[in-house]
Parts: sequence; C-alpha cells; structure tokens
Amino acid sequence: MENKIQVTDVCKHYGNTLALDHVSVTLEQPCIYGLLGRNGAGKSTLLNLISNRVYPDAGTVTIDGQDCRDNDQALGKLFLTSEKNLYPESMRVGDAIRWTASFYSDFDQPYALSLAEAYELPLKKKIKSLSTGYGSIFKLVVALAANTPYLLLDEPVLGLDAHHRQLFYRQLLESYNKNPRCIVISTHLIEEVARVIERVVILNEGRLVCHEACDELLQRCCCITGPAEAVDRFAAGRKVLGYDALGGLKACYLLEPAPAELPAGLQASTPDLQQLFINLTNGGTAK
Amino acid sequence: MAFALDDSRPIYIQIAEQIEDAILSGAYPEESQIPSTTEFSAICRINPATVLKGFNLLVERQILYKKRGLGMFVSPGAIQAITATRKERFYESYVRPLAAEAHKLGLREEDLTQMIKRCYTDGK
Amino acid sequence: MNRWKPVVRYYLRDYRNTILVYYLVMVILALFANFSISLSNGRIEANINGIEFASAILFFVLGCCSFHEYFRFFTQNSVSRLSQFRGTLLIAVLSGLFCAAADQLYSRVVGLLMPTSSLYGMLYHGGALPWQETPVAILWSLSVNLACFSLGYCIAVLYYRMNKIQKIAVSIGVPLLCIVVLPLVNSVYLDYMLSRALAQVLLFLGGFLIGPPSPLLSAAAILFVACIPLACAWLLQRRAPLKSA
Repeated sequence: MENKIQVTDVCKHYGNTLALDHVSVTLEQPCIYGLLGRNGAGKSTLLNLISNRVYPDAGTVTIDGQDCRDNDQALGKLFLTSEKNLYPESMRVGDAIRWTASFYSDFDQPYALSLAEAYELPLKKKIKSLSTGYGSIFKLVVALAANTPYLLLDEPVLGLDAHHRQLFYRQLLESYNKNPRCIVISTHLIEEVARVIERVVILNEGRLVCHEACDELLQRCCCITGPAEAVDRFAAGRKVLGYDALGGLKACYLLEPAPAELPAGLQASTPDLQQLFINLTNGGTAK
Repeated sequence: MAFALDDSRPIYIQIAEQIEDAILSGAYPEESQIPSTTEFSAICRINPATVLKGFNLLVERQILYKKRGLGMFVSPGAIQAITATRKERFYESYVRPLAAEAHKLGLREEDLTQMIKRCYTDGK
Repeated sequence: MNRWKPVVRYYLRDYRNTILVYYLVMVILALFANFSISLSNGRIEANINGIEFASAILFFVLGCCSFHEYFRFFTQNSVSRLSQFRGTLLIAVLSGLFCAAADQLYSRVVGLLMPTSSLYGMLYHGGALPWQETPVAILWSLSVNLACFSLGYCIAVLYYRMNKIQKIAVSIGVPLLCIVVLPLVNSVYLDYMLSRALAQVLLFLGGFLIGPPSPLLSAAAILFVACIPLACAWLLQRRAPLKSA
C-alpha cells in the first residue's frame, strides 16, 4: 500500500484568481515538510484541497492511494488545523478535546490533557473567547494528540509568544519521535522552522517552485560576497537568484555550490533557508 | 539548552563537530553511551533525520559505533582519532585562513611568527 | 469507517436539550390551562389541540439550524459530506419518531384533563382517536416532521451556498412572490385557479383526494414530497466548499 499523499496536477480558481496552477507534489511518510510561500502563494489552498475542504477545478488528490473526495477512510487519516476556528460558538476547550476523541480513534486524550496543562490552556473556557495565541495552542494540542498518519498545520504558531513557540517545536519533535508520521508545517517563520523540517516545498504564485530535502537545497546554493564588480564578473553566466547591495559591497545568491577556489576578494558562504526562500520567490526558480 | 548552531554550514556537520568536542572535553567518555537521536532532536529542536545524519558521519569516521537495541556509543580510541584528524585539518581549517587574513591586513610572515610566539609566552 | 455515528451522537446532544425544553413548555402550557380551568370552576374553557402542528414548526426550525455550525465542526473532524448527510438524516428520523410518539402521548394525557385532540385525530377521526390508530398516527406525524425538517435543512444549505447578492434576491424575492405577486396574479388574471390547485395539492397530501381519507396514503405522499428538498439539499451539500465566514 502506498503510504503517501499524492497531489496530481491540481488547479484551483477563486473567481478570477488562479490560486493553484497545475501543482503536483508527493508527501511521504515519515517526514516533516515545510510548506513555504509568500502571502497568497496557494499554501492554504493546497492544504484545503488535500483535506477536501474545497474541491479542485482539475487534478486529483489521493491519500494512501484512495481519492480523498468524500472518502471517510482517507479523510480520517488526516488532521488539518487552520487559522479559521471551525468549532461551535458555545463549545469549551475540554468538550472539544472529548469530541475530537470520538471522531479520531487514535486520539490520545491523556496526552492532550497533559499538553493543555503544559501550556496552561484553560479547559473550561469557551474556544471563541480564547486569545489568538491560546486559540493556536488549543488547535495544536488537539492536532498533536490526534495521532493521525498525516498532520497538516497551517500557520500553527500564529500569535504564540517566543516561549510557547519553543515549547511547540520541542513537543512537535517529541511527538514525531514517538510516532513518526507525515507532518506538513505551513509557516512564514522560516528561520525558526528550518531546523525542524526535513524537506521543503515552496509555492510561488500558485506554482510549485521547489520540492526537495532542506540540506540538499542549501548545499546546492551559495552566496558570494565582495566588491561589486568582482561579484558581477564572477556571477556572469551563472544561475543567479538575486542580489543584495550595500554601496560598493555586493552579495549575490547563486544556484550553484560554492566553488573550491574563488577569485581574490570574494568570499563564499551558505545562505540560510529564509534568504534562499526570499530569493527563490522573487522571480528566480530552483528548477 | 541548545548547541550553538549557525547557518554557515550544514546542521548535521555541526552536530558531528559538537559531539566530537564533547568527546574531547570528556563530557562523553569513551565506551559510554551518548544521548539518542530522539533526545538530541527534542532538546536542540532539530529534525531527527538531521541528527541521525550527524551520527552516521561519526560512525563512518569510526568515532561512534552502534550497539543493536541500545544506541550509540563512543568508540575506544575516539579521542585519539579525533585529535589526529583535527591535527591534519588544522592547516586547512586554521592556518590558511590565518595567513589569508594576515595577508589582507598587510602583516608579513615575521609579524605572524612574532604574534604566535607572544601567544605562547603569554600563556594562552 | 463509521463516522456518521459520532455525528449522530453530537446532534443528539444538542437536539436532546431543544426537544426537552420544547416539551417542558408544552407541559407548562397544559398545566397552566388546567389550572385556569379549575380556578375558574369550569367557567373558562381551554383545550390544546393539534400539538403536531407545533412539532412540525419545531422540526422546520431544527432543519434550518442543523447545517452551518455542524458542517464546520464535522469538516474540522474530517467527516465526509456523505457521512454528515447520513448522520443528519438519521437524527431527523430518530427525533421525528420520538416527537411523533411524544405528541400522541401528550394528546392522550392532556386529554384526561381537558377536551384535547391531536391534529391527526382532528383530520381523520373527527376529534376522537381510537387506541389502535396510534401507530398510524405516529407514522403520519413522523412524515410531517421529516418533511418540515427537510424543507428547513434545504433552506439552510441553500443559504450557505448562495453568495450575498443571491441571498438578498431570494430573501426579498421569494416572500414578495408569495405574498404579493402570486395572490395578485391568482385573483386578477387566473380567476383563483392557483388557489384551487393549491387546495387540490393539500387535499392530496392529506390523503383526502383519492378514495376514503387515508392517513397512510397521506404519509406516503408527504414523505415523497419531502424527498425533493432533501435531494436538493444533498446536491447542494455534496460539493459545498468550506467558507471563511
């Protein structure tokens, strides 16, 4: 049996806007994916399509070989948290945890309650009345405890303070180590998530720009710094992703590994994932 | 707590180096067990696959070895092996960059030698 | 995977409270009426008839309220739209049956205190209701409840799928049509043909049109008609996207 989510050639329009343009991607187990993209790149749309919250205009999505549309068995393997609060107005945190347990057979209720305690999440409070940060914490607690083979997190750390964010990454990894599965994190906080993810999927303007292992991608690129003319001369004819300039000092990002020997005055370094992402989604491609 | 990791080099290489440092400093003695990938992953907030890559690098260099069902252990003679490798790489890792920087600043070979002598007499 | 089971359990939690309150109100009404009668030494006459009519309205309202919030909650828990629909249908049947039985019980009990008749009794037995007719009465009442529920539910799903302009058009247009346009056309241009046609439809649905008054025929006809809004609701629901609001 295939153990993956297969998205094949999906397209999605919202009115006149093309949200996703012939996107194909495979999400395998076990792995932590980072789904990156600028605002409006199509990340949420992709996650919503995978979890059958919206329907594609074209293309298919299969979960473990089964089409996800209207398929309880396939959908039951998935849990998606998003910005939207889909819980009823009057529902309290504790009730939501108990009800989710009845929908997901692998839900670990004691774990959920211990997580809630670790974050000081009040069980008696109504979900609607939680702050942005605590709303996110609530969703995370439920998501981690659900223990589904596929976990999709859309902006999971929205509103979380630094302390809670650190706690989240740690608990995510603990949960992943205990139960290795496919986790997809869609986020804007690239620097933070860079070490937690194993593979990165980058969307730009509805298209798939990059889909590979994080450290392989980083090793494929370099940043050459030095005097502007020397950098320009060096970069001529090479695959350039972007430039940064400060007066006569210039840095250029190349889609090539750093050469062993550099002309005098030039220095090579590895760009971090955030820098790479910014340059990839500024018009350059990794293909 | 987290190892000080920067973005200049692949994380798994930095993990391997930090474990080597810990072995050299005696934090992980020879024939002792080092923490598992799970522990490293959770404490340092790094993907476990990356940690495993770092471990495997050290296994390749025979600094660590795996005991089935138990985990990773520091190989006997690891300290010697690490020291030997680092001595070999000392020239490339430290001396050449030192010379390049000195050249950039206009220091001559004699100035450099003087500085090194001063360092030793100052008692580090 | 049987995901419609937790769906039904969740609906049950909400419906149980609503239905309990509803009957509590009905009981209080009966007690109040009885109290008034005894207080006035029989000078005040009171009777409570046709409780099924109130139940039908209850089910219409339940239908209207059974989509939006639940769709969002069930979708969050990865329940397919088909399982959601199945669960909704099942809870409608279960609660419809419960209320149908409760209504008959209510009519009988209140009938001990004051002249009371169920709607069914009024329609088919001139007020009185023989005991052996109770199962048929319950079946008939169930069909009415289901029909009202499916109408309410269809409206709920329709409103969910419509955009703002369509909502305004329907909200203004349909009442306008029914209250102003159709009666006007009916009386001025069609010589009350619409009214006569409507009367015929109602008689047919009541089982009065063909042969002797038949509650079973009526129940069948009402259920058949109920399938139309139900089918529309499913067609609208099966590819309903999850919206932001």
